[in-house]
Amino acid sequence: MDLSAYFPGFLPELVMVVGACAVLLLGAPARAAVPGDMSKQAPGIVAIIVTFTALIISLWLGHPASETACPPGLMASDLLYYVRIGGLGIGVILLFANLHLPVANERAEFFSMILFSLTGLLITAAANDLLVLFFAIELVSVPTYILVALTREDKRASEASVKYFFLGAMAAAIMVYGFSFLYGALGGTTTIAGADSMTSAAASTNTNTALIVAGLLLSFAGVFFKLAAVPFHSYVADVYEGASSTISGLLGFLPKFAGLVAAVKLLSIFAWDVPPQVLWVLWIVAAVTMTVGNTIALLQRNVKRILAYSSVAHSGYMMIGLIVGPSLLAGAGPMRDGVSAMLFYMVLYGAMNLGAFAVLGTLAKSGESVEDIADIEGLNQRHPGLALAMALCVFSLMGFPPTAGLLGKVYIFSSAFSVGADHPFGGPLVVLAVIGVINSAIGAAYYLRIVAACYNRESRTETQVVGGPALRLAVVVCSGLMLLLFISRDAKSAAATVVTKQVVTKNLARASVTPQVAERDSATP
Amino acid sequence: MNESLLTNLSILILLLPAAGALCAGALGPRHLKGNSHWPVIFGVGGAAIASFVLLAQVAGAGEHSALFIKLYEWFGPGDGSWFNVEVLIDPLTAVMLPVVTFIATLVVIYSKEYMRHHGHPERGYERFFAFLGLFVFSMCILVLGGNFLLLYLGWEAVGLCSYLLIGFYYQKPSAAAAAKKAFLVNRIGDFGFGLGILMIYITFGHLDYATVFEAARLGLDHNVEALASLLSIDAIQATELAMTISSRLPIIALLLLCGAVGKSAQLPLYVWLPDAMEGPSPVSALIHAATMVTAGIYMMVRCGVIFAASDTVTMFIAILGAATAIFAATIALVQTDMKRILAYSTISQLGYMFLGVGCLAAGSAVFHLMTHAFFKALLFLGAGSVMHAMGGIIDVRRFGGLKRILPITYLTMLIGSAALAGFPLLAGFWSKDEIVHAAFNRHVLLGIVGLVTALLTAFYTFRMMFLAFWGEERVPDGVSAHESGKWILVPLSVLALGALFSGYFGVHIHGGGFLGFLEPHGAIHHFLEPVTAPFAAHAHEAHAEEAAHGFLAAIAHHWLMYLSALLSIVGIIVAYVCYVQRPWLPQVVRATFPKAHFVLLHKYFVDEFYHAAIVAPLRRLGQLCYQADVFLIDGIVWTITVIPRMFGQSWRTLQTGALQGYGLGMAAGLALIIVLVMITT
Repeated sequence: MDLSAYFPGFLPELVMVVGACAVLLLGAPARAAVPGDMSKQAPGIVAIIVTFTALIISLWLGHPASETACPPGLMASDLLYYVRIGGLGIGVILLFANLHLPVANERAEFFSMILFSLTGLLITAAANDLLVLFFAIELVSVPTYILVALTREDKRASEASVKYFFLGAMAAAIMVYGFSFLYGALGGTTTIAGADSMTSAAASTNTNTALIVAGLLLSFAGVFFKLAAVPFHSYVADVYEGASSTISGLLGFLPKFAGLVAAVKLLSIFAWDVPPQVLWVLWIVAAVTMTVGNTIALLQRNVKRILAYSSVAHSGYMMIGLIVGPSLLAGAGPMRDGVSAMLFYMVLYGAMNLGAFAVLGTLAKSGESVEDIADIEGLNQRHPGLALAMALCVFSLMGFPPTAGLLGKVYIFSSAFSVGADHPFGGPLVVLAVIGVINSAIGAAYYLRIVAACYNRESRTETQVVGGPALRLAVVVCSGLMLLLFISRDAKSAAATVVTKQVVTKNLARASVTPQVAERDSATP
Repeated sequence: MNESLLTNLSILILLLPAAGALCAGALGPRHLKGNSHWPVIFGVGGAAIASFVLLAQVAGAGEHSALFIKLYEWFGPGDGSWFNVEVLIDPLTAVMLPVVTFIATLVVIYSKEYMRHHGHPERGYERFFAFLGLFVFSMCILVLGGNFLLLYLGWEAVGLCSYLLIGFYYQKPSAAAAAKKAFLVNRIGDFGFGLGILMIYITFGHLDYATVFEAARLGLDHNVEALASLLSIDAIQATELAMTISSRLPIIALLLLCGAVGKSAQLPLYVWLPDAMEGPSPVSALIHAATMVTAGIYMMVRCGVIFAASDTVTMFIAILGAATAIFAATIALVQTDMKRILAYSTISQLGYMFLGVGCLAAGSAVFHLMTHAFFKALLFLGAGSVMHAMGGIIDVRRFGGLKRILPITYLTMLIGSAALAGFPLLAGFWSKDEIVHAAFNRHVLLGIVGLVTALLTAFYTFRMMFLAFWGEERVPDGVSAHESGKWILVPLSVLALGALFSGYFGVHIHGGGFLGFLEPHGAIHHFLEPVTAPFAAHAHEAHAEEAAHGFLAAIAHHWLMYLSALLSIVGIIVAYVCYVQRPWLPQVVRATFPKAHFVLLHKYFVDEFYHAAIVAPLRRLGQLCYQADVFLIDGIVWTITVIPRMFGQSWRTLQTGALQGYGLGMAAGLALIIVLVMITT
């Protein structure tokens, strides 16, 4: 088959790869030949154009058709469509927020790394082979190590980058070790979807159960690292603190999103019909992650560290949706479908987390970045607009109406409550959701501290607004999205329909073929 | 009916006042300042125009079927549609909306001048108009909403606006206390109301009017198949549901009634309304006379299927209404604060409306709601004009003989008072007479209470008028009395026209009789018939007999009408005798029945009783709880918070920043997980 036959279905990914390389190349001659402002701005602007183009192409392509020509190892699914829209959408905002970085000369490298990371995210969603999945996740991660180092000329940034790299390498090693077990357990294949007969045969024997458990646990260890789930969360505060604020916003989104998509891929091999031990491990990790993240965050005074631990806690909430899994009911929205709820929350989290970090990034205190909670005290008096944006994003993180965060939490918890008693994991999931609700209440304590600092305290320090109009635009978009997504029906239903339309198509259909699902499959062009 | 036009109209009616309020609230403090009334006048006025167009549309449609319009679906497909912004346009809505928005427009215009002089030092002007616009928006949600959630939203939002506006002069302790009282007393009622809505959801699984009312109707008829197909459940469930419905509806009705009793200030929750007079006069006119307090009546008529289902419930409503009517009227006899007299009169008139609903004459209740809105708003605005002239004094003992100083205010208020007193051929006469008529059909005693109250009403209304406007001219010291400007007088005059003629929406001209005899039950009743049908189906023989022909037959048939007209005139004459001709007479009466006067003057000691029986014990309980909270709960909570802190501390000590430590932690964690899994398998 001619290679170009694969192009139409994967055009956004191609655009991103080519674009990332092009931006990287921009760096070399520009620095030498074209002096002045133009060479500084070009990489960032080109990166935005490339991402935006990919986003437009994704929207134009729409839901991938079932007969899309897929090269070996890749699969076009509705999950891919959702990740394209969500990832590239937030990606554009990310680029805007980071347009003023870095101050040094490596601008081309910096923006191409963001593009590569985004590309990795898309390929993670497209992967239909464990090896491709592994490479894709590493494509997301490796650029982020570099990004942390490039953001600012600060000792802490370099230290954070090195730590992040070594721990990431260790997690990758564990993950690929897990994949090797799965390779054995699946009977010598690494294909994710479409190896029906073999996997079902393999899953039936006892010896393979142990292999599956071992493989999944080790693979999930790698996923946990990406999610910053306990006990793989320890890097998170140092790295977030070390990187510049807006890059911390990126770190809360790209690796986490990729990790969740990878987790969906892993569980979809078995159509969520995995040995109960694995679900229990996920359960415990989710519960501990939420609790540990929230309780440590309570003690922090550095806003970036608070947000870092809040990021840990949010991973715990999202894992609830992962354990619930997709709903087999036709037309189930995110209120019933855990995977939809989780993926909706992930994109939402990306925006609100980025918004909060972007507000921090906009502020500077005599050239230094603003990090301590004392620095944002009385923000409302100095910059009412920024204070409002901060309040909106933080309320959304807290899950407080009228912000979209409320809906995100409602979706996730309600998906857990709605699994019903006949579900084998129904009871524990309800307990987990209750733990989640309690954790949301604990979390409110430190989120409200941020809002109270902005509004209820007297302004004691002088801060300047830095970062230029692009960063402020990102702040406005992120905080505006919180209100918009709360009100808008279309955005939510888009998330719902996109994701419920067979996230993990083929394997789920095998697990339980309901007429509606089958009908919808064939009806979806 | 033109659906797209109606959709646009309902969006306009909802959004125009909201936009006006937002404009006044956001731009007022910095930019509009003294011009903050304009956006609200345009917003509310625009809504009024749209409401009249809507009324014309609904009235023009041949068959008055209800029209549901889904404006916005909040939760998308697959989530179940449990919160939609949908509106219900039917004759009841079409009658309520113009009343609300038209009177609101007049009140806003009136406020332009009034609030200049009675504003508040802290951004009083723009704050007032923003709240007023917000109120109209909330009231429109309440009236237009097509499901119980929106009803509840509007219900609570008007309560909030009422709270904000009663406490408008918040630096005055009595105003702040009154606002708090209104809010808390309403909470008692709203608690029941909320439970009622929950119970509706539990019973029917839906909250939109169409489904709930249809299901209730089918359930009462034991039409199992239709019920099953309506709610898409199977036959067995439907049979069970039909059984449940007939037993649950009275409970639901009583719970919803709690809300109505609170909002419409009926016994025993009426105590907040007299105190609510602490708010500015336009607020009393709009919220506490014409619109918000009638929400309870609107709700009961709207939920006719639920309320009319049980005879006991309707009888209870009737007794409650009659008791409130006469109770409040007696208190009004001896009050001296003009606005408080009117407040008790409002409670009494709302009692009439309850009586009408309870006597299954829902159409008459809505009719009375409409006429009352006109003349009571007029009276409150007039009282505001008097207060304006008297430099903020409103006690009728401190001034008198104002009729030459405030000629237009006097004239318009005289019309309003006559309408309230039920003077023949004015608005209040027609609507009140119908309710009394229905009460006689229900039970003789209810009718007699209605008549006695009518007599009392005429007396206390004209007592107030004579004291304030007749006799020798007296004004408080240091006040240079003057008639108000045209921004105040024009709304008064327009409302006076309403008080004169709005009653004629409810009568029809009898062709054959003497002098083209005017008969009750006119256009408005026919218009409302589709809505009030559930009540009418249960009415025994009320209004069943055809109007008799011929003069004597008409006299015989209409004896009640003549009697109530007579009573009204008698009441006015007695008031004239007591307060104009022989001003010493009230003293004699007071001296003869000192105890009765004492009791009435202290409003039957209800506030004192509530204070002793409820407020004081609750306060003691509160103090006890506070002590327990400080010593016990705080201790426990502190202990609990220590645990996460300790967790956090211990985790933080692991968080040393050393790379090797992190790596070791990860490996140890993974090892722990694997060991755990191995042990359990």
